[in-house]
Amino acid sequence: HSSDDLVYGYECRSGYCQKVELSEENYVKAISLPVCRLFCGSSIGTLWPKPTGTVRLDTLMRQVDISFIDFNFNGIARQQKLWRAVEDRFMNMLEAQIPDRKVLARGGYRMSVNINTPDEPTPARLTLDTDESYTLDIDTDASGHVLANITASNFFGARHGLETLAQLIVYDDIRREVQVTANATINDAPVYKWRGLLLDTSRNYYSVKSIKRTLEGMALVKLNTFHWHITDSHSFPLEVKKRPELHKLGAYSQRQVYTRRDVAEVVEYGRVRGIRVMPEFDAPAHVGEGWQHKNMTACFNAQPWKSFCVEPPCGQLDPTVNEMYDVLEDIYGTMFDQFNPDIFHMGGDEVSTSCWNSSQPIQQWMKKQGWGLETADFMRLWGHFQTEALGRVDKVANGTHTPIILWTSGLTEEPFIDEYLNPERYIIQIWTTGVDPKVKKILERGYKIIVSNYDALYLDCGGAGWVTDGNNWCSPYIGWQKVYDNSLKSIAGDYEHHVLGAEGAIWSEQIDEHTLDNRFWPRASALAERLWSNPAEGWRQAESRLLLHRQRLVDNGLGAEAMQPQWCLQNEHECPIDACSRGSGRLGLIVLLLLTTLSA
Amino acid sequence: DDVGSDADAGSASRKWLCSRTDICTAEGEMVAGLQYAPEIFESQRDCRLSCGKYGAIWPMPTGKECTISHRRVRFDPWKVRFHVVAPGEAATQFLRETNRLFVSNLLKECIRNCTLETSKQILVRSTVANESLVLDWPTDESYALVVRTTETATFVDIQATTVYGARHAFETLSNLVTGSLSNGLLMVTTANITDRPAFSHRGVLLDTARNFVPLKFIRSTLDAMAASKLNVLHWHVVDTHSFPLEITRVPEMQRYGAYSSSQTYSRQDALNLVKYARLRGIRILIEIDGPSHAGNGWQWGPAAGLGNMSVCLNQSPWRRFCVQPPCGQLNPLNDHMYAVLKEIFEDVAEVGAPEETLHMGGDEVFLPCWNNTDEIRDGMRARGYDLSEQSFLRLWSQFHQRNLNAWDEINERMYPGIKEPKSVIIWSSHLTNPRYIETYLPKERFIIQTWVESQDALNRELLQRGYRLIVSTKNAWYLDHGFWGSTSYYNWRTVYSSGMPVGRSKDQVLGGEVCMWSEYVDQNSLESRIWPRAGAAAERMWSNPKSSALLAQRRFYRYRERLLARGIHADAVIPHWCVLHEGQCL
Repeated sequence: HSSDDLVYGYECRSGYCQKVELSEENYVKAISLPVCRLFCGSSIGTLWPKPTGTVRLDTLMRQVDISFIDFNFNGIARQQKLWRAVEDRFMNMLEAQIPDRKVLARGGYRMSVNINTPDEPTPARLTLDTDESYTLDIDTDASGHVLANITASNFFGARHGLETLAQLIVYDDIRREVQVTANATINDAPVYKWRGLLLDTSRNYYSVKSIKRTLEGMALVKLNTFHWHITDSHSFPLEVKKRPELHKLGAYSQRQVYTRRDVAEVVEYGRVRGIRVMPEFDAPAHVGEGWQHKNMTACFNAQPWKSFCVEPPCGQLDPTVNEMYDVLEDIYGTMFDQFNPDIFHMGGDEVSTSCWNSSQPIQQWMKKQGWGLETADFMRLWGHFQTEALGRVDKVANGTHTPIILWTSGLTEEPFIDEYLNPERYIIQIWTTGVDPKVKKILERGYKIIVSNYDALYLDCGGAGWVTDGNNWCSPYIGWQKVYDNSLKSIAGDYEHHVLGAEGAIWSEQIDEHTLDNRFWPRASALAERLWSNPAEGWRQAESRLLLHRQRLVDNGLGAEAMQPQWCLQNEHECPIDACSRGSGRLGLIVLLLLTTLSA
Repeated sequence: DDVGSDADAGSASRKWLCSRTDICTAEGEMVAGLQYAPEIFESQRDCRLSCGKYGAIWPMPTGKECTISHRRVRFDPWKVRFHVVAPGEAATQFLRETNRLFVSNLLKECIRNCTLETSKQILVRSTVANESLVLDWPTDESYALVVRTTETATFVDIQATTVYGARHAFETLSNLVTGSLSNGLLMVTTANITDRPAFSHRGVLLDTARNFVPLKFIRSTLDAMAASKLNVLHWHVVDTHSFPLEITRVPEMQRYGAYSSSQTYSRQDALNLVKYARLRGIRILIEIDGPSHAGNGWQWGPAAGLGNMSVCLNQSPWRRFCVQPPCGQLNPLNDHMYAVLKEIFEDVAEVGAPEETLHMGGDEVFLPCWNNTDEIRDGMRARGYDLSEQSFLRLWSQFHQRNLNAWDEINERMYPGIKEPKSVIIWSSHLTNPRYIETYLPKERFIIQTWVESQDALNRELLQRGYRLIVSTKNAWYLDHGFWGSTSYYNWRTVYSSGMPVGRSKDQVLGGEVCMWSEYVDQNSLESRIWPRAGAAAERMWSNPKSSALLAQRRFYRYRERLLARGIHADAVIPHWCVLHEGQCL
């Protein structure tokens, strides 16, 4: 009985899902696009990111009654609340792909999900030592009951296994059924430990709700680090209990503040999704709003700004003021107390020595130290700041010697890097291009690095200029293909074992929560596969899988950008990358082709 | 909870001042040596209402008169009273609905609480001279707006020739209002504004064929257009990729052409959109593209015994058959195709307003497609044509002429009261090359929408030959650019600065359209791609300003905030610090 509103279904032919017109003859064997893609052609079906171990997917699908899915946790009594949240999220994802619950066909088999994870004595916490691998087995017993077994050494691996399981449960719009792969075995583990996204919430504020959407997207693709660039010279939207003036003076408005409760909410939301939320307090530069009336900053909002910083408003801490370090300690204390970070980001980029040099008190202080006023002397001042600030970090961290991340900067160049930055303590986050020779020099010294080369991973690139005309400094726009093919190995060369991973970034000068989703997604998914799977093949082999994955992002509430006309999703491999209408020179091409054809 | 709407809430203790250079500055941040007006404002938005000749009005008024006082009246939006003076019942009803929309927009400016016991009375009288609800290129959209305040009340007097001028006046009036940090709304106490658009065609093209766009997002596009005084939604509703529009006379088009049964526009949807748009002063111009860009939706011909109505359909390798996959081009030798197309036009004519016309597409015809199709080559030879470029161009022009004849016949039958035959619109193409256009496309009947780059000579050439133009400058107003290939993103200042060509007579350049092609866009990035940049084009087309984008930037940032308040996801163009600290990010 052909449905009145369905004209097309799909058949697997020659390794591709072919769109076919439904008729009496083929209705029974036609399948929906998500089902077809699960086993047609690719051995990994539609999974994103691609598993790194063995994948065996049967072609047999079994209808599941989603009212009868039960979870069993073997020996995880201590983390019941955490797992309950994971279970709820899992069920929400299944529901998200069903257009209308009422049209769901009746029937289907029961399904049991068994989580096999040792009980952990302390609350689940992601660190650089966490083993995020998992094994997923799906079997069907004699009565048709579907059994999914997930085995992992900890919560994080197990939740990744559940994420994969959710991708093997699909909605068939022809039969209006939820179906699961009847038999499957997957062994999977990430290649890179640090798989992150950075969001700048200072240049433009983002609601907690929008940040949570980003965390949800990260969970869907097994990214594990949300790098929260929470403050900058533009605004200070974080509540610091001991220093309430920081947010009262520094936030754009008092409704645009991340309160203690907001931070706790975000951190826990991330944890449930296998994500560490790491705070960054960028200093000594990138400081301004919130620090008014303290006499602890230099160059705040100095004009003309080009003389004192790289972007208005200017603002830099004054390292010569001892009381400034007390304020810094209170900020660090708040961040350690609320985030409990296993790694802490101290920023440290784009310091302007001419800013400090424009301050009479700083000049006098330096002279008193017996220093000159050359660039090298201001670098010593910067090193002094970094040393003092690190001391305060250690104080609030109770001597745990938390690893510290700094951006590449003047301080990470020789000779200063050798003098001030201990490679056993510091991790360097690279933001220059992937071919910058400075990267090699950092690696040769034994530092671990996190890659955020702007030419592939700054997802704000390609927008408008704002203090310049035309386009912004790192234009053009970076397509997902470039993100996908951004090889960390080619950046690190022989020192690949020093690469912890990478982060994509959104710097928010011209982006806020109204554009957040479509700037991150689905390009961040391309990064996720690069970091989880580190595929040997390039983006082309991933394209049709990403098109379908993007739909999954949308179904789960992410406003992911369209990649191609929907026709291309429904007609696999018919739309190569250079096919676009109304491009420059297209008219000339038409004439050229016309003349060539007619003259033949 | 729109975070943008409370931008000044935390600065309740600060006051704001307006400098002689039209900069709103918070108390304590004043610049030495600069002079400030004596009035003190409670917030930046309050200051912005009147700081500068045009205050916060977007687009900039064009009349000689534009004065806005620095003083405010505080009021409750529910205490506004309306009086309509209009010659007919239809115009009266239209203006009553306009009043309702105006109050709805006022409410969106509320910050915390708009209830105000001691509210000043606001009395708004709108007077319209003409009862007609026709919205077309000759329609008079001008208005005069006077606000004056006495001891007892504030009086707003709106005078316009048509209801559309009056609705634009209400839009401007909403720009003279902002939310108070305490209670109620603030309005300027006096204003005197006369205004009229420079161009009668001020459009946004929306492509819903490459990626489907749900109705909700089309309506929000219309809301943003209304806030910007844009008056044409060019609905590129179908293409080779999909045919989501219901055609009641030919239901096969949608059935075979829609991406899915839930990604469709019914006839009632289209009728509702036309009505929704009209109340906002917007026409909906439907484009049925052809002969190229016609494919999915046309597959059913052979099975129905009508032959191949579209050829090269979904053919591979696509480069031999079209400029973008999937391929599809109508068969100009198939009479059944013309009959079906006429049925489509008939449905479109019924859905649109009586005075509305049709966009027939006509771009990117790929002649090798026809030349690679046996039945077309054979058919041309049978008609005595050779296979030269000239013959194919002739065939192409016959396609347009036959469709124009069909359109004329439909309109004569359906709308006998409209005497003048309607001109149709087509894209610039090889057929509109100045060497050929006068041979194939009579200027009295065809309006050309050009999409060439700003330095291209085509606009000038066509204007010299007497053609009417609608301009869509590709390297400034193609808002999909910057995200694919070697295209660049056009920031709002580039959009703003893109000038309009000058015709031999005033009405020869009808106006322009910004274009949102949706190869890489669907509902998820639609609004942030279009807005607020389309607002920059709106000021170009309404005001045609001689001044630079730099001078407009503070009004523009406030305009963006109003879009956000109305639920439009307009993109950020600058860090929020720069909005709050005017003049410091240059």
